[in-house]
Amino acid sequence: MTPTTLTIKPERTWTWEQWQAGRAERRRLGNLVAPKNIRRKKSEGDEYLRETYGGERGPKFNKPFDPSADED
Amino acid sequence: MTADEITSALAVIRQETDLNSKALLLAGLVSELFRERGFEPVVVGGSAIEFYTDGAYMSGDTDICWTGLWPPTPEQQEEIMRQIPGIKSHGGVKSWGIEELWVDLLGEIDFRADRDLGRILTPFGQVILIPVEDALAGRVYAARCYCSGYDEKDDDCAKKLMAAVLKGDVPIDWDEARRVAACSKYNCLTQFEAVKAEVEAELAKSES
Repeated sequence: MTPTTLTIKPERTWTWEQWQAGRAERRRLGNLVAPKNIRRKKSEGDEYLRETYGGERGPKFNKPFDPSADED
Repeated sequence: MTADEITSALAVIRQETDLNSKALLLAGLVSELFRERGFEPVVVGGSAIEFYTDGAYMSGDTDICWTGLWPPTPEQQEEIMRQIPGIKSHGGVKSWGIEELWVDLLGEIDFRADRDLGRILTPFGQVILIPVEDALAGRVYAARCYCSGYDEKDDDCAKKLMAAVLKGDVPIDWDEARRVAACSKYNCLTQFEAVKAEVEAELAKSES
């Protein structure tokens, strides 16, 4: 892995394992203050996204740790 | 990375079924390919917030800007991205598609925070994220100040990021965040404080 030349504080660094481990809690917390899925309906220049995803702007959300993520 | 290493990384990305993990792994691979050539990619926009929050906000693309001494030229961008087998481009060298995801290569990063970047160490490379202070102030501005004055999706996105920082999941420098919110680019300190108060109230209510 090539080191970055940028200065980044240790407390602002997450390992892959830390990031994965925190996902369910981050999602739970976010869902307390906003709907589960909040993807924009449109934005500039997203025609290639719609071509790729059958008219949508991205693939379906699929969160193995949160099977209800696709409900709304 | 060697061609074999890139192919192996792609195989892992192909098998990943979770959108956010898949996008983060791809961002790690692309970041590594540019970083090993001396460039410093930074993930910005909704995908950066998605990586910070897991908030189900991101679309199918990840936006990358550049910091460091110089950005890659269009020719360098193409040469580096073409190392990835099977990749396709859209709109010249700006948008790149692979494994049903898109990566947009944008310009030099324009942020107001004092460069307190975030970082996630993926198996394929480091993903550097725009400072959370900038991401939060920028999203509050987009939600409550830009154009029509209110955008529900951006507001929900700002609230999810605000919840993450209020709960300590993402470290933040509040003085710096307020300074960024008050800067001439955003000028949204009042709205920033309002979102903070609303989210604090919603979190308190949910915990009572």
